[in-house]
Amino acid sequence: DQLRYAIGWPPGALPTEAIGAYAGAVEEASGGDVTVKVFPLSLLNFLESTSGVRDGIADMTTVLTPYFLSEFPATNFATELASLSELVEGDADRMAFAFSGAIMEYVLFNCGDCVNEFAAQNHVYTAGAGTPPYMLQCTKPVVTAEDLKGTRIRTPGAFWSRWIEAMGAIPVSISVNETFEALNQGVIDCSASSASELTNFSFIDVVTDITTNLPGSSFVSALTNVNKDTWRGLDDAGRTALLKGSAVGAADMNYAYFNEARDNIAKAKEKGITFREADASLRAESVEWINKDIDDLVGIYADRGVANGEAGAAKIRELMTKWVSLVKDVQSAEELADLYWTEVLSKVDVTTYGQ
Amino acid sequence: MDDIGIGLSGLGLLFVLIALRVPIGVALIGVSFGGLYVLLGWRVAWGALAVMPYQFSANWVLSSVPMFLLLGFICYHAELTQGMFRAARVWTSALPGGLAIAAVFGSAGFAAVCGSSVACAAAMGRIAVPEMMRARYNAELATGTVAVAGTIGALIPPSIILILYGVIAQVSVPQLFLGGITAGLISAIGYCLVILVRVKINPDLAPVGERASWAERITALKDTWPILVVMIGIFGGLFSGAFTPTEAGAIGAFLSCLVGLARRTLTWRRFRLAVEETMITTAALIVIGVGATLLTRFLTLSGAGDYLSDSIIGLSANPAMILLGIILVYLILGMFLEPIGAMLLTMPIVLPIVQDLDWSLLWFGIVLTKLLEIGMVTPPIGMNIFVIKGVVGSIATTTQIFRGVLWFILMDLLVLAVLAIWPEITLFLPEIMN
Amino acid sequence: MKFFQRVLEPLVSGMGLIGIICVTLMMLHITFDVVLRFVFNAPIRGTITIVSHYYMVILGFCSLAVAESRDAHVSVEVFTELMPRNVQNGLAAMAAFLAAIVFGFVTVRTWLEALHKFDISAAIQQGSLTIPVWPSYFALPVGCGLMAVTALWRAWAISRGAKSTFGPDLNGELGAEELPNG
Ligand code: NA
Ligand code: NA
Repeated sequence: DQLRYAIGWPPGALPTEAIGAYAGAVEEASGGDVTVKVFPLSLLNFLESTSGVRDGIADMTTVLTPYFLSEFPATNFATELASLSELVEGDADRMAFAFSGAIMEYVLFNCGDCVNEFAAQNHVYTAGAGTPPYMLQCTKPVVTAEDLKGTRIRTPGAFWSRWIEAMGAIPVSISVNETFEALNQGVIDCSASSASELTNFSFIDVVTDITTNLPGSSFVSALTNVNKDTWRGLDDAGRTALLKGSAVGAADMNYAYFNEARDNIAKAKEKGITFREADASLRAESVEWINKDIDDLVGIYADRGVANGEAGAAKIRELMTKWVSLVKDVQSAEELADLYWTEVLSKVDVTTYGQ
Repeated sequence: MDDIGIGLSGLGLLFVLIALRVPIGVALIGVSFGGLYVLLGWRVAWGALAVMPYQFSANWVLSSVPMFLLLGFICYHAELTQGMFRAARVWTSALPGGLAIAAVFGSAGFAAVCGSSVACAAAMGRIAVPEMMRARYNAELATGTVAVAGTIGALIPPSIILILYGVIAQVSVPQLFLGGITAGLISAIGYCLVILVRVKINPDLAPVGERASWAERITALKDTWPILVVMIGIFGGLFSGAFTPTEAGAIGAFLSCLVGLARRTLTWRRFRLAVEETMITTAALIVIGVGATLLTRFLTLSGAGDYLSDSIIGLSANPAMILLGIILVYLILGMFLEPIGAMLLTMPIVLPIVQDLDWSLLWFGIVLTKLLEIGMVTPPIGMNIFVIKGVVGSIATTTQIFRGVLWFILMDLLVLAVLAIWPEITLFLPEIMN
Repeated sequence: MKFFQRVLEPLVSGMGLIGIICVTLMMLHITFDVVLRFVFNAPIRGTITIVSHYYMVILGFCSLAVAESRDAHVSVEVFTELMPRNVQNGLAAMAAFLAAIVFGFVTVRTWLEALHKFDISAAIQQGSLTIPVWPSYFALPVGCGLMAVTALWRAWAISRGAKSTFGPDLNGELGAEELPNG
């Protein structure tokens, strides 16, 4: 079967290449029985992704679940806990590897509500992946709590908005496309962004100071959701091939982001951008707030119908700790893909899951 | 029939329906829906109708369209535009064909608050043509000048065409606006040259007027303040990055209301008229836009889009020849189609070509706009010509206006060639402002 | 059918009124947002979402029937103008009928989607603010439905050779011509 993969990123973008790797892996694992044609940006944009795959316009897509608050509350509760990367011990740059593994394991094996909410949209969840950590990319130094007060910061999502407000700064909601101009003209002082944006949106040409350990966390998507009818229409071997593809796609995307972040930071240093860490008291204040925020999230999401938030948060914390040690020595995308496959995706029972 | 065949048949049917006077948006939605049904079945076709209409319209960048439309209609109905022409008139009074040149500069000034070429032509036509007729100008020259000068309205920002292009091609609207300034000014200068040369050759076309004194010139400038206030408000904010296009449009509309109230030219009736025109134009755009996004999906899923783009690229190894081909196609389409319809119909096929050939999307947007605007004054369907005909009544026939425009079209083709051959001219302002 | 027209006209005027309110509110809301942002460093929260998901959607779809009632949807007349009068009328009636069918489909589909969004109380997060957006989904079936009905009425009126447009003649006073886009 030729399956259609619609993706909201443009051709040539890093995630689009990762989906290319996904397509290759699916084809290989199925011995050519299942092929995937990728449509970058031409078939569904991100806002159309959920209903587009629901109605079969495409067989597969990447869903940025935070855009679909009401459709996927249980999953979004889990994605917001990407802020755990600031609380567990380990290599900050590899936290996205760990969180991707943790959230896959959580959604697939520990969160019936997550699976059900995807099923309600006629989707089958098969993988997650996250961005590198979010940093403060600024046109002025931000080191102390005092520096943050009244600073105007572009916010990429809910977690960061709450953090910015809690630190006495001012969140500004503008699209990432408008951020360069806003930084350039002093409309905002900082953007909370990952290292990718330094080159993808040219922030490297306007930013002068980067604070690396604030605010943290990452943006996590449901990387390779499959239309439920398509999934059911495949035989066990076909479904297994898709899951193998998911392991490769998730690993490829995480690793490509990881490499890009490292390159971009090197480029930025070469350009004379100053890298700093927040002073100890500000960092402590941030960590303390994140701890409290996780408790608050349980309440926020209870209002959105997510039960047992406390148990869920504890489970994700436990999985995160486990995954941090699993990924600490990973040296290549292949190793990471093997890890996602053996630790999580190979354990999915393709005869029952998503049926 | 294979999938590509279904896609191409769908396109064929689309053009037949449009030729039979079916509204473009209705034809687009109907054909795409039917085509998706034939191609992939009921569920996909039915599903596409669910999302695209809402997602297309619930768009922050697109919401600048009604705001800029409102701005233009208010400036027009509240008569904030007349001072512009009067000032231009006294300043160009010493030149041969001074009144016609003033109409060109008046249009360029009004273009800075008006998003569309038709509105711009109508506004200047009503003010400038009677003055030129009083000064015994040749009717063809007078009407042709305002018809063609109106097209500057879609090049100099704000511009509805450029906003729509930006939304669909994912190009920054302020950057497109900067590119449009250069193209608009070059066009204006080109039109002035045509007037100068024609009047030099045949002075009977435009009797020499009275030369205005410096005192008169200074006085006339004072009357340009309404537009200047609005203009500075919009562009200051927009190009400094302080406002987004939507914000610039809303603030511009708000300022124009204030100025209209201060000058006591904005009545409740006129405000309602401006809003109603804004609504009708927005609705018409949204229907076509929703249809065009559906068509994009249909062409993508059938493979006909790729097939057509690849065939066009395959025609020649020389990108310059492909560009020439694209230009010819748009000149022909422009003869018959309304510009926004023509743009949205063709973008699913043309944009992939532009991307494949690694052309600048920004530059192409400006060239495309210039092409579409030439279509506004070419026979048999030239919206600007019809509007001027409506304004001037029995002064000139439609044919006479088309004849008056002919000279300017030659200049337009020259300007087009300049923009197409040297992209750096278009890209200069966007680059230095970055 | 005369009765039909008497019911239709006030409904379309009602839509026109909603549109006028929408455009005006949109202009004021955005302007005040910018002013508050610059003067007090305190923008109105949620403006982007409200503008794009409420004003834009309601304005766009509620204006559909208004545009149809003025025959203002963009079409190409150049080829049909060469045909005899009665053929022209036949084609115009068919075009209006086709518009009614197409928008009939869109109405039913967007109605079902609106019910779905209502069921899940669809909302959008802007910053730390959660803004419900499901109500605006109902603007689509309402606007498209009235558009379909208006087109149906026009098809009937054209085929009868009766006057097929209506609406306040605001243009009359200023003698202005229609100002389409471009
Ligand atoms: Na303009
Ligand atoms: Na034309």
